[in-house]
Amino acid sequence: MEDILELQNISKKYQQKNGETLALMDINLNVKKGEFVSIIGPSGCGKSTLLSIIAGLEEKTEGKIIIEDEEINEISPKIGYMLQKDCLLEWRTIFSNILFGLEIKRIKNAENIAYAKNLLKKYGLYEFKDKFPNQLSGGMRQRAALIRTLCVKPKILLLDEAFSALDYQTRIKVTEDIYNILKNEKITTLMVTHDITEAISMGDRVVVLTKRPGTVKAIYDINFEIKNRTPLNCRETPIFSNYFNILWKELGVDE
Amino acid sequence: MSEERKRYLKKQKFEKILVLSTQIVILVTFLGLWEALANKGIIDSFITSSPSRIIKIFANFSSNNLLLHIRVTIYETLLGFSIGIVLGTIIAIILWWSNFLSKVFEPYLVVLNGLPKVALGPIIIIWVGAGTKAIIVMAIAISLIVTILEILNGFLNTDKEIIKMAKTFNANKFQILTKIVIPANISTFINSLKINIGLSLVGVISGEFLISKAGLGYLITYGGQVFKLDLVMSSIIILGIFAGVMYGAVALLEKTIINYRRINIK
Repeated sequence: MEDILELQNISKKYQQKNGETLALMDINLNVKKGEFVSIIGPSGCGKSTLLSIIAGLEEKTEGKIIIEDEEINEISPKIGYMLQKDCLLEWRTIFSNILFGLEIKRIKNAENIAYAKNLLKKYGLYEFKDKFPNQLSGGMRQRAALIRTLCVKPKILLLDEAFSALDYQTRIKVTEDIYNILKNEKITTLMVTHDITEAISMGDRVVVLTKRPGTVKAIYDINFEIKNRTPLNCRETPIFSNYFNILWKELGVDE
Repeated sequence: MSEERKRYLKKQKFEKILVLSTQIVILVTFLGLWEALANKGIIDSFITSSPSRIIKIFANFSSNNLLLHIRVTIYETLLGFSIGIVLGTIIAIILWWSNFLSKVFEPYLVVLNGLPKVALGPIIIIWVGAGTKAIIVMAIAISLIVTILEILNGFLNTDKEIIKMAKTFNANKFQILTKIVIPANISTFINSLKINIGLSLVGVISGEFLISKAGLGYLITYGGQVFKLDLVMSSIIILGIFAGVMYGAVALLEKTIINYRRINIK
């Protein structure tokens, strides 16, 4: 399959009062269409910074970002971004929250509204559309946040520790939900996480970054050889713990 | 309904009644004691006034021109209050918009905030004349800086993650202001309304103290000078009632906004 996203020699330097810090150094990565890539690395290695750069929220110091053979230098409409918090606006109903992106981009037309309604129906939130965020569970809120992002029809989704604010049980459930939605909608995904098991259970590939300045240390293909793979059922396979041990060593937490 | 639930509700109701009745008892005891002590001559009602004397003032308020003075004070307060809020909000928006300006003006705001604005009284009178205008300016001077600081602080503390979320959809600064920052700060806004009721009253009354032409502030100074303590006490009671009514109006506004949001956002 063809590459949808290419990162070429991405570097990021922060200028501060007491000098400059090199946060990312020479990151190279190609992501295929429809692929799910997890990125892990020791804390402070700049993995979230990398996502912010791809999203166009932060400037890179060097390098190129290419999406579908086109170099991008600012916020691209092809990219959706999901943060750790669901960031639903408490004063709006779920439906109004979901239309937020369309409203900001000034493309809230009948066609897109119908598309949004369809997504709500498909993913079990339609009957909650007139409720306010505080009336929904954490898992439902996260699903609503994903639908808000999907409404603007991104080709690539960036997940920045998107599940780490949830409690363990909800997290397993939401991971399952979101994985299915993303595979269903055939969205290419780049996920940053500090949770190795999450990275393995969702990723087609896992990218390991070194500690600061972050650069690609290793890339692992994840293959469970099971039909209808989901984050939950691949956790039960014996290969899962093999991957875990390999990545645990690769992260070098003990060092 | 279970027995336990009934008991719980009963207890809740009892507590509510207890609080209210204690409040009434305190008020009645205070007024009763005041009246009795004045009546028996234990305290000098010439200096302390008494509830019955205050009622007498209210009973023939036309001869005291009370209504005129009340009207003047209400007019000045409402005008100072409104201008203070509107101007303060506009300046806060400008400072939020421009990081440069907010950095430049920060020390000035801090100093002006600490400065007792009453000290500006004579200057204000000389600049705008000893009249209603000066009193309104005084009310604005007292409430404006606090309003700016309060609202700006609320704006700057808006959840950064939510602003980031809006930015991922390529929101511009105006959209961030109108769709995130302002709606997220309605409670900040209501709070500064509440604070401003008291502050603009301070401004108006101290303005009337200095200028002494009309209004409850004038009545208080006048009453003090000619030892008509009944007049002073009556004016203070009216001020209390006025502040209470304004506070109630803001609370009503708050409720209305919350309800409006629940129904009308689609």
